[in-house]
Amino acid sequence: MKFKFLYYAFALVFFAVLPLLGLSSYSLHILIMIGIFLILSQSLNLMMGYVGLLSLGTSAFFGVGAYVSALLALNFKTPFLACFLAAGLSSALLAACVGIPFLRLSRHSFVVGTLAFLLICDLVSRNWTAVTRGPMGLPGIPSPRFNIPGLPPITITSKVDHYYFIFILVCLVLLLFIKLINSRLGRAFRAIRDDEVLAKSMGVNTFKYKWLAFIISSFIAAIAGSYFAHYIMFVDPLIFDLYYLEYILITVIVGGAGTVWGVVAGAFIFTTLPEFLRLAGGLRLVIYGFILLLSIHLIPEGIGGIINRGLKKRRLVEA
Amino acid sequence: MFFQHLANGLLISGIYSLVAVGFTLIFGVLEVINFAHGEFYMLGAFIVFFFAGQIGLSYYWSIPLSILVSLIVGILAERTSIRPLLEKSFESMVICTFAVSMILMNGALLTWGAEPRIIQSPLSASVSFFEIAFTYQRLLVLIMAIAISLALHFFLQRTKTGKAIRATAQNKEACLAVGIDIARISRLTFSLGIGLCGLAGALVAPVYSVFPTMGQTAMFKVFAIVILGGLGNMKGALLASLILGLGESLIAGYVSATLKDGLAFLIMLSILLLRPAGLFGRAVRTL
Repeated sequence: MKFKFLYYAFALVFFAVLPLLGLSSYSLHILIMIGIFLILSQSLNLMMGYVGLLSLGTSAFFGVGAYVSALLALNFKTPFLACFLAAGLSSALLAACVGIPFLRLSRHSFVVGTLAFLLICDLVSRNWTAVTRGPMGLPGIPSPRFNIPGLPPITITSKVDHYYFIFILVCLVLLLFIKLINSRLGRAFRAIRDDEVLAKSMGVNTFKYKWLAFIISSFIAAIAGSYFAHYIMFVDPLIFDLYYLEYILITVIVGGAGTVWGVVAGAFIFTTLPEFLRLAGGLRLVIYGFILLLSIHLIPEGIGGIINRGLKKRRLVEA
Repeated sequence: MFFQHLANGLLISGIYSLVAVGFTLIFGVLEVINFAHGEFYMLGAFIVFFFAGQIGLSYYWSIPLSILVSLIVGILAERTSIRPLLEKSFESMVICTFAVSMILMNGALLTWGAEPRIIQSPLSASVSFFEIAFTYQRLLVLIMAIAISLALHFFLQRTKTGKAIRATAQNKEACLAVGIDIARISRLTFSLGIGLCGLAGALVAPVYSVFPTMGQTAMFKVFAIVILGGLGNMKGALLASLILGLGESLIAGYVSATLKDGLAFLIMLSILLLRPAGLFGRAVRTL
């Protein structure tokens, strides 16, 4: 346990010097995508792994964040940081509104309701052409640019710049995420996951905490979406495609819902795997489907769960 | 024209009800939200395309074959992926059906490609009575949908097995106490739902074009229907199918065809916000 700090320091230094080793811009791109989907997957992980609710709307908030950020940047020339925060906050506000009826539903209807929400977002983005330009999408989203008073403006354009930006963002999100789940709030979340009736009878306001978790998870998904839009410089209704949902579901399930580092590992595996599997899109998703199926049956607690169990066993042996 | 729209709406309602009733039955008995449900509808249509369009078998023979193949695939999926999880968490089962849906849809995409396929029906001649013009194919779909809905209603209300299915959906412990074999009823219900989907797919294949994402499009409507009718509510599903089908047809006829899909969206949104338990539903038990 006392070496835990060393592991973190080693990982930090490793990822900080990684771009200096002369990686190709293609590998950097993959690392950036890992960062984006790592953040997005933690959003689903919060709902699924810590509160125990399957929210299929996660990728909807991802898309809402991307659209809000893109529209603000394109129509009002809003600076990046404002877009980024506005995306997160507006998505959190949306989650606060739709969360109230959704979280009153049973666990079963919640799943259907959140998926319906994703389909509704898709329909709106396709048909509200006056704002979203429909299937043509929104091209030409500017690169992130920071205007710090007293300093020359910093524009993030190259892959290395993007890498460092997402690296810092991932560190921040993970730090806050771990703080959150170990706080009073996080304990309430886990109490709800483990036994909602019991939590309620112990005086936990379960609705309030589920609502808070839904809002926070939506915020996390939306900032990932905002950065994603500014990174690939284009948004279209395909961002609401079930593909992203399948992708983060497989990341969280195989990584291990309810474990932070397992989901991090999942993001690494399932963002790099398709690059090795360079197969036709359809076949890739068929294989993903089988991986998802096998993983639920064989390793229901995911990679993170297995490692945690191993660590616990070792600790018991040492003690 | 009004009667024409009404007849078209009835046809759409019939198809929706075949898919939605199976979905809601499976939810009631197995307590699983079957995300792969729409894929069996797609599969039913593609198997007809395969036998009638690619091999050259007659359309009539393709229908039972299509139901058979959908059933085999469905039972295989149920045995390998859903059954072992029945005792475990609801969420893992849902994700499992999601995975099955991914495999089937993308498998169809790989096998048949993304472009919409058209199947020639031997019943493409058209008939008109009163003011309504209908192809015989559409008439067949309509009659079959009504006949099967009635037969299903009779089966669930009057026969012993049907009553056992309804009992299982209501209270499993009580079923065990009176000696109903829940495992058998679950298998039967799942097969029934999948069979209805396969049949629906086989029937509409010559009416609309066949494409791999048609199952997901249908699922969108099924969600609207079960949200309107209440998840797990049989009669609610039938009524909601009727409302959605007729509503869509009338909107397409009198307002605009592009607004048609908006109805499902409107229904979902307003019901979720105002009456989450569904329009006709008993409130679904929370916790």
